[in-house]
Amino acid sequence: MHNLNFSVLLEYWPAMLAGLRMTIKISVLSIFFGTLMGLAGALAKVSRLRLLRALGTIYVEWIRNTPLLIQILFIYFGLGVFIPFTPLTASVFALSFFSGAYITEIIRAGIQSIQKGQREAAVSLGMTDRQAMFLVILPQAIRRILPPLVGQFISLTKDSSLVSVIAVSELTYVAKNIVTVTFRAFEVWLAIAGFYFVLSFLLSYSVRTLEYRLARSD
Amino acid sequence: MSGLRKLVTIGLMLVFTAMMLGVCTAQAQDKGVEAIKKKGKLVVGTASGYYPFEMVDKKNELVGFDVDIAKAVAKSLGVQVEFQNYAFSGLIPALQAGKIDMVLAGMTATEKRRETVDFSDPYFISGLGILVSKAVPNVRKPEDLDKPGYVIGVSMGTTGDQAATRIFKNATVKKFDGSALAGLEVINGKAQAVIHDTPWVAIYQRRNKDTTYAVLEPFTTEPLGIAVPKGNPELVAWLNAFLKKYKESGEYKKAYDYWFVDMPWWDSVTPKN
Repeated sequence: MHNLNFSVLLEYWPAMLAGLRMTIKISVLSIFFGTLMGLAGALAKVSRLRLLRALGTIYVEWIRNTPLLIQILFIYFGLGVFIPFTPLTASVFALSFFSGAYITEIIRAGIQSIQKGQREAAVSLGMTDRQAMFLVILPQAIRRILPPLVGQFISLTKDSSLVSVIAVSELTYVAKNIVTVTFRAFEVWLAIAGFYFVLSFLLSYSVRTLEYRLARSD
Repeated sequence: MSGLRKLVTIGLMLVFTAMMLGVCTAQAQDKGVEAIKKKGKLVVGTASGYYPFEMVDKKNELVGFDVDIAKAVAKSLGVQVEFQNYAFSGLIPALQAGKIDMVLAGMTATEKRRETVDFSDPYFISGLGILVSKAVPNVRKPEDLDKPGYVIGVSMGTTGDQAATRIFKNATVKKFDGSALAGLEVINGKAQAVIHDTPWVAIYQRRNKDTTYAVLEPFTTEPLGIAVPKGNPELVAWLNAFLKKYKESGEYKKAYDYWFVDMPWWDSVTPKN
């Protein structure tokens, strides 16, 4: 009765590629802005100013304790009443904001794992706190931050599928549409899972290579 | 490490094969009237949000014209009824996968859908209308909205979706997992109109009088039918006989007057404001 027919995938290949391009675009933008937010959040959380530390904590706790889907719906349909978000900007904003909180924790942990002696040594050599942070601590922390950071990037790429609910033409939205028209749910969703798998795998593979190169330089 | 990887790969292959076999055998099951009676349960798939066919009231109960029909079908079969709420576009895949016995969701019996599922005789004739933002006055027909930069919202997989995709060459069609989200876009000024069945448009407009107006002259004819898995002529025949009895006994008219004319359900479903 339900004969599998994978030829629909060939027919709709261009549409799926277009969706894939949008997913990559959203993921890259969100990774970029998310990392910036994460860096800001981490610096806030290790700051000497209690206010900054508090703001950082509120940010992280808010994001980590609410579902991403709710955040997306809140930003687009809720805040969207007051702020003229397009679905694309709402998606990138929501995903960046979301991943920024997790990246904050990753970078913070990385910074705090660098021995206190490093900062003391830098300051005793005449550097300001800021110079110590950016010239001594962060460069060393990057090696430790990279693996969990990439894990977060991969999660983000997969989580981007949620923005299909606000009708952004990324991979999952395109797939839903194809299933609606062809009724071939099994074949289409299997293929889409395959797309995400390849994306995530390529991401983790390229970073493993990067890590290897960095390790060799030690 | 290589040994573990082999194990995992074989494991995944076994799971995959099991899934495939599961899919095949599920289709081989008899889905007819006898199977439902034996199960003691009629599983009906619906997509709430299509006023007044299926809606969720303030007590989180599913109510509506379709819901009443489903309950009557179950009663006539002598079984319990269980509703499963899906996004509209997920209903036919759910039927194919054997998760539900039938679909009652204001679904039009189109030729395209008949390639994958069977339909009962029509139990309602609807038509597509337009919910328009007040910011775009004087719209009489869909073509009036076909301007570049315009956004038309639809519920993914519905005939409204199909009509909009067919009609609009300059405007953009945005598909949502439900007409409610599409309507929200219009209210928030992000879309100019929604294409959906006239009963839904009429009620949604009534709830949003300051921001929208309705074009209720239908520009298509939509015969709504009950969808069942293919290869079940016995079930289709049973449903047709049931619908005939439902209409002749006066139950149909009672339900129609309740949900479409008098509408005493209004306060228990819609907010007071």
